[in-house]
Amino acid sequence: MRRFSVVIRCLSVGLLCFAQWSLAATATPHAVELLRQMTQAFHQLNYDGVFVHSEASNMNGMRIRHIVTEGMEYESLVDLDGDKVEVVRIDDRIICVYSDDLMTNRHSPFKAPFKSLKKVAEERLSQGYQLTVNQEPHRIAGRQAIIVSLLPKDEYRYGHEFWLDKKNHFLLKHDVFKANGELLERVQFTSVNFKPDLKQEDFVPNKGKHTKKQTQVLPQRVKNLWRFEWLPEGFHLVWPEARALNHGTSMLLLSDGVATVSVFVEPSMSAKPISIVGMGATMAGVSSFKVKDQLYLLTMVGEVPGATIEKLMTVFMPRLEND
Amino acid sequence: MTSQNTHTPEAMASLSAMFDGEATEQDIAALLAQDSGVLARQLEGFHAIQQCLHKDEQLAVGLQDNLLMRIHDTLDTEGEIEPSPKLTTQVAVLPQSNVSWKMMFSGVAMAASVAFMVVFGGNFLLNSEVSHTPITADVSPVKATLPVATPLAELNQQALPLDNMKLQQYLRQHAEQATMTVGQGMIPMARVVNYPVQE
Repeated sequence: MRRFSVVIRCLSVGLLCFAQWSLAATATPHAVELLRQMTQAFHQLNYDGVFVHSEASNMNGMRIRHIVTEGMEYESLVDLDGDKVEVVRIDDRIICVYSDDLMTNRHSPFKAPFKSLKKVAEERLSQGYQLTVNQEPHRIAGRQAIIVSLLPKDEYRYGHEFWLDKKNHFLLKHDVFKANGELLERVQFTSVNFKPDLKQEDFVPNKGKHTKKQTQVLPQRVKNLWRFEWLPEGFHLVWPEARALNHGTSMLLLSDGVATVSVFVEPSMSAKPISIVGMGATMAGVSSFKVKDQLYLLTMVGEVPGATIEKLMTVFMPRLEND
Repeated sequence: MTSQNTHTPEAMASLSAMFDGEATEQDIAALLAQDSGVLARQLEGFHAIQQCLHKDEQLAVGLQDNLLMRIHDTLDTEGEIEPSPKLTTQVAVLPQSNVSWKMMFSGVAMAASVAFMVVFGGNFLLNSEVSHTPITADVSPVKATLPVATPLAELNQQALPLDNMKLQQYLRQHAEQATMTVGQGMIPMARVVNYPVQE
């Protein structure tokens, strides 16, 4: 009877341990959910912070401010190391103000970018990356952080580490690295205040010398006449249509949920061999191709390896009639 | 703009396409089935917005947005605004400092990509180990104007002087779209600051 009692006790303790383990496992935040909350944090929190952006041998300090008031988002990004140039976003509109420019008025030509892209595409992310969460204590900008790692499943994309604030999941640090672990790019906050005393008026750019004028064409949605015969797993066209830019250029945008590749195609007068240039995580490729008698210049820019840009350029072609 | 709109989103899309000169036969058919009076009012709204855009006296979207108007007014005191949005124009010379920002956001400076490390060049495509899918493979044209593509190998290979100004514009466009896509607020815009520049 006594032996039976010991067995019961052991089983009870075992069950208790198992239950605790199960609870701990389910309590572990899912990586995609954390990324989703990170995205929401950028739009929902008020913050005023300074971060450093480093890429290759370059490093810049920047200040970012964001408030949500009366149902509108106000955000500004200021370069702290150069002239006080500022990018202001008010809801879906980006307004760039330069010390030597009057203003660039961008009126959100691409519909509903911010609000519609707050969702994180779990399926696409899992196609391209292995997602893990490291909950061991880390500290960034004086705040406790957890790490969401995205390890690339193939050679067509880079790896990412997102260091998120443990309390509100705000992005405190973001590393982009090659498959071999080489760091390509880093964004890291040095300080951030989540209770900033900011008002709408604080997002009116400071007066400065605006000696240069600039106006830009507003991109139009046009039918996409191009296609890719192949795309890396998880990549897709973000817009169903193309965007018409200056000089007859059409723009397409690819994304796997984290990395983006912009595609620009335009009629050209001269043939150019493929060439790929890059710095840090950003790669740009240029090449020519011919459709019947018409030459086209193809330019791709994205935070993906050069080999990805190169391969994408070889599979870019006119749409088929039944596409 | 949409306050008086009693049409379906599809009808509005057709109207917008017609206004932009991009209407298809289906668009026109859809519009013919709508109430012409309401369409006319909608068109007036489009015209008003276009007028604002072209005059650059108000922001294109959210005309009721006082803060945006204030920003514009603030900047208006600094100088005149170019009347036409169709062309990029520059008036003054850039100061020597602040090259990167100006390059990226104004798309005016000349040579950022020259400083990019050239990873591959010349006939790289032809010599690369990456498998190539022939562009000419069984591609059929959508229309007569889009026939089969010619393989790059058949093109006259030349040295590649990148159009730096154009590449700058593309890099800026890319940064803006990445900002709108990856859910990290405006942090991706910071990337453009570090692009090396040569003038």
